[in-house]
Amino acid sequence: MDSSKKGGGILMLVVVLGLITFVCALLLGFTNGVTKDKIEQNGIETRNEAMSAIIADAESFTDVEVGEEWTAPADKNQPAISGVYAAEAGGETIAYCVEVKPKGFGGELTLIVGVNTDGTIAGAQVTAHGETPGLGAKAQSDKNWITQFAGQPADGSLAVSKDGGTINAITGSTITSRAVTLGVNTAANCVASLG
Amino acid sequence: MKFSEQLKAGVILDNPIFMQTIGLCPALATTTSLSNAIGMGVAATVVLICSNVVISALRKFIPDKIRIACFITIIATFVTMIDLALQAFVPSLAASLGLFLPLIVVNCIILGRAEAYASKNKVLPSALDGVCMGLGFGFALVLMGFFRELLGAGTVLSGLSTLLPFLSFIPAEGFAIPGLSANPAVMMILPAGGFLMMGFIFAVIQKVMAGKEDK
Repeated sequence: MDSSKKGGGILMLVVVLGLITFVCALLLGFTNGVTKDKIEQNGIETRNEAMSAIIADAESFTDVEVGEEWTAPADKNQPAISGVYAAEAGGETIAYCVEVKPKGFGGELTLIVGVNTDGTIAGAQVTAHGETPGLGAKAQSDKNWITQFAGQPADGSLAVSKDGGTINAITGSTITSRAVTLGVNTAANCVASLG
Repeated sequence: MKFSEQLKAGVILDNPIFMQTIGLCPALATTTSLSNAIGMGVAATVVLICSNVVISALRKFIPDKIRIACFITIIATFVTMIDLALQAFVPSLAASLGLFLPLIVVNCIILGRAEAYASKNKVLPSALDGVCMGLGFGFALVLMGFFRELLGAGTVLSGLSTLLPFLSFIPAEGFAIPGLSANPAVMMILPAGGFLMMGFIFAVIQKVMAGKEDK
């Protein structure tokens, strides 16, 4: 590590590192600029696809405003709701879709929960997660697992079988299963509060 | 060094996982299924080639004293750019690689090759070194991923059609192995199984190598 070889005065070091980080910052800024809108649009498309899959009869979805007790709950154990959409068909609201973000094993899960106006769960889908592939990730990839929520009562009482409830947890992924169940319960409670 | 020698070194004699034992953390974490292993192997190879090329091109410009900081900055930039590009244009691949993609930044194979090879060699050999070491890393991941998925889930290639949509003839759940898929040894896809499988593979390789030396 002969510093004289590359004229290693401290000023030189600062200039070189500054230059490299500057070029990197430019590249990152450029990439971000090019991809930002597309990524956002992908997120919206994923959400719309999930909502249409859960509420197949819906003709359109309209944003519904909910209070801060749902979007930024004081209770840290209650997952935050990032959006509520009324599914409409023939001019009437037939169901609500709630985007909720419970904490899983590997950070937040993004979950879309459909709640019918008759007080049952229409279905749910995980749209984004950081769960372990092959284990918790099955909440999204194993389409058969999440279907067990469809038809369950939307009264916020669901629990995995280990906690005395009726939801079968994914093998080896109790934390993920609990997170999804909590998300579904929170969504159901939120829709119930809408009246 | 000829390309064939480089290839042999990267995949077998100097295999990053089995011989140099670097980059073990992603090797343990991402090999829960064969398709994850393939995805991680390809992503790491791409980053490795890009970072080797740039670091080799800048090797006379980067002072020794701050080389590690420069390498990490360059690697992190590449990883972030690839991550953003995948999220924008191939969201299905980005979703299935998930957290592992940003984690390539701290994959010591990439920093290791920058330090040991790219910073001392010309651009073309450095690019080839990236290809060879990436293949070696990918080969090790595929080997582990195959056996862990086979034993732990009783399937082969599950999820590959989500990773690479043009391979849609492969069923989404992969090919179930009769007898194994009904009663898999779930532990093999849990973290502990990763250590076990790595130990078994290391043992077999040591045995084979020792046998060669005796002759």
